[in-house]
Amino acid sequence: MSATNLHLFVLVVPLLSAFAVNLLGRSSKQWIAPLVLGSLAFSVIGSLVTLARVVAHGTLRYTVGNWQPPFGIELVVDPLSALMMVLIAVVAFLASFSSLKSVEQELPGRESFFFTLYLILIAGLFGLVLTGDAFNLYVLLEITSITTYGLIAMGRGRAALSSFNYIIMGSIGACFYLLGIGYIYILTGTLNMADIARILPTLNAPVATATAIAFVLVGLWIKMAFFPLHSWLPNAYSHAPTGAGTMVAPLMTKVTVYLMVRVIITMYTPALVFPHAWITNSAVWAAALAIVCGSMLALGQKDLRRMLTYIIIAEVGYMVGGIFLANANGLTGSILHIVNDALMTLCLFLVVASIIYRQGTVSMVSMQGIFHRMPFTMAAFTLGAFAMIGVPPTCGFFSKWYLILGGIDAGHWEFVIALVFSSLVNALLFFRVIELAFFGSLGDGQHHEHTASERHEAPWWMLKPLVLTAALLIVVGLSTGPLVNNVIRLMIPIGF
Amino acid sequence: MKALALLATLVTGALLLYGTRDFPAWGDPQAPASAYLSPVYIEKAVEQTHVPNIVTAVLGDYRGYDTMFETVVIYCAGMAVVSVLRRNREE
Amino acid sequence: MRDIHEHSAGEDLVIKTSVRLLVPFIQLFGLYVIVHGHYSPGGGFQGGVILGASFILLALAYDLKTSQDYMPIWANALLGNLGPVIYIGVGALCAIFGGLFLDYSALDVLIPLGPVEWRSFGIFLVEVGVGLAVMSIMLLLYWNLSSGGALDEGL
Repeated sequence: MSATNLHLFVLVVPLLSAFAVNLLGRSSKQWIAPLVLGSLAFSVIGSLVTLARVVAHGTLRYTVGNWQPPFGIELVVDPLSALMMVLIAVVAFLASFSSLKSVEQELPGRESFFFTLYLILIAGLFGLVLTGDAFNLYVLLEITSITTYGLIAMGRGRAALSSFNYIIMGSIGACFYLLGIGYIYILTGTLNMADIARILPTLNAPVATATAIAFVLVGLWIKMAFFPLHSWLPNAYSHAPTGAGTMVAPLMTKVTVYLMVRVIITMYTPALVFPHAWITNSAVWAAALAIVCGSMLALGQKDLRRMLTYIIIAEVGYMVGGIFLANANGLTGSILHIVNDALMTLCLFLVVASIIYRQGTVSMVSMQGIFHRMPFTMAAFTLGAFAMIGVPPTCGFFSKWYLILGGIDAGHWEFVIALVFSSLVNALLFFRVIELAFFGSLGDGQHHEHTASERHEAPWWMLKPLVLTAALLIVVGLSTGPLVNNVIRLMIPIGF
Repeated sequence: MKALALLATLVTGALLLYGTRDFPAWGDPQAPASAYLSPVYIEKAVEQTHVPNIVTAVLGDYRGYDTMFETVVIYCAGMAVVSVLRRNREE
Repeated sequence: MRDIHEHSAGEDLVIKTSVRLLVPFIQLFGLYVIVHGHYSPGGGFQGGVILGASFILLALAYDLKTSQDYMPIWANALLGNLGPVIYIGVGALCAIFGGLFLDYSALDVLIPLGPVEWRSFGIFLVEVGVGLAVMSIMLLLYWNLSSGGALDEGL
């Protein structure tokens, strides 16, 4: 195994394990956990090694099949791609511990199918961050989407209907993206991203170029649930099986935001996307609106998981707004927020998974007094809540800081106000839950018959990754300096 | 509600049609799509891959990475259908 | 495997007899299309569809259980997983033997055919993988959609 192929093996090992899980898991379930955990552990190690290599030696350009681009497909591993690879690997690995337990409880008999789709989804996410070819991106977008539709539809009750809603919206988004790429191919004759960036500004086709850019961006916005195209997300993520939600919620929208960054920076250079002030202004206004509406809608939710999905919509607003601020601080804050938000969402969804494993529901009513029953889980929840609100030294503070700086630099005060407003609303939301958990009265109603105030903590297997994730929130927050200077600053285009 | 959906569809279609204003003429041999990559494939595919069918050569070799993921897409579609339909089946 | 004359369920006698005569030829044609993808229109996807259609034809003319006699569920699952594993395995083998991923000429060190000739053979191998995957997934989709997941009674 040559060292130059490592990043591809990070993708191939989970993919092959998916087929092994399907074959072997049908007869005996004991094969599933070692295969899932083993392949994801390999991916974690491989992606860390790749990140170290890319930071030391620079961008790695890899030609699949040994055909030079633009005739063949090119994979580009630059610092941002390597960072995303590490993020996906770590989040998937930590989430899989919890998913193994949840699926055992919620979907008995179908674990092999669940983990087949799960591993293929993770391999698809790796492929998305590695690719340097526009059509390859579409194919991988389809893989990640189809596996997500399947994973979500496996849930109970209204899950199939929510998944169907998601299918319709997701297919429209993918179709828009494909139309945009089709227009670009007709205009430039190539599908390689670097090539498109070279050729597109030299053409004299302003209307077609603008249409192509608009359709690609709107397609990606539908897939990342950017307000007002967000209506599929709360239902899909709250009705999904718990094991699926734990991995999909932190990763899918964030990888789609990464795709938008990649499209704007690498495929269309920023000079092509941000020339007119009305584009950036309206996008930042839309982002501010997304933040405010997401936060307001979260206030009215009676179920913890649904509240978290509306917070995800607000967080997507942070990231899109940060990019369209079109300055270095905004872009840094946005990329940093991709990493931070994935970890924060993972922490909170792991808490939700632990609570559902023990008591079957996360409605606000059932959360009364839960701190006494599950202290470690709720301690991790408190840390995740602080990160969402933006309290130093958790990671959430630093990305908000960069975003606010970027908003002030660009003069977009509506964005700054929306960020501050969102922090206050998050504080309100999370402190309400923490108050219920700490001080809610026990013994009122039949929820607490069986537990009173005895400890009924989540199983060790689910608790360890949760504690590790909570610790990561602080570790990543404290290492923001090296992260920004050595990795993210390398991605800022010249002239920002 | 349906009128709104129809309106949205018509507006999207109109935008797409308007965007085709700058396209090169249909079937123009000097268009970028037929002057940049295609001649190289047509001339070099047989000598570089020994496969007379150029479509198979592009699908299987030049862009084989995409075909691999297309196969996985087909597989996922089947698995998604099976996993949703097999409710509570005893193994 | 039961003798075909014992399958009494199904459609009219004319349909059953003609399907019984046609299915082997359809499968042979499907294999032909897969293998001749290099020289004529065809290849893995098209040949796989024809092979899958032959089994679906059997299921339509007789019933679901009959098609499961000729393609057992475990065999279908095995082939369906084997298809993508062949494709990805060939790519990974190329990477292990010193080349880049899916660089078929790197496999020259295993069986010396010549680098360019290996590209042709490599395309053939992956097309076989694609054909197997498509055939088995088509059959799987038909079985599950027509019987609502229970795999007992078909259309």
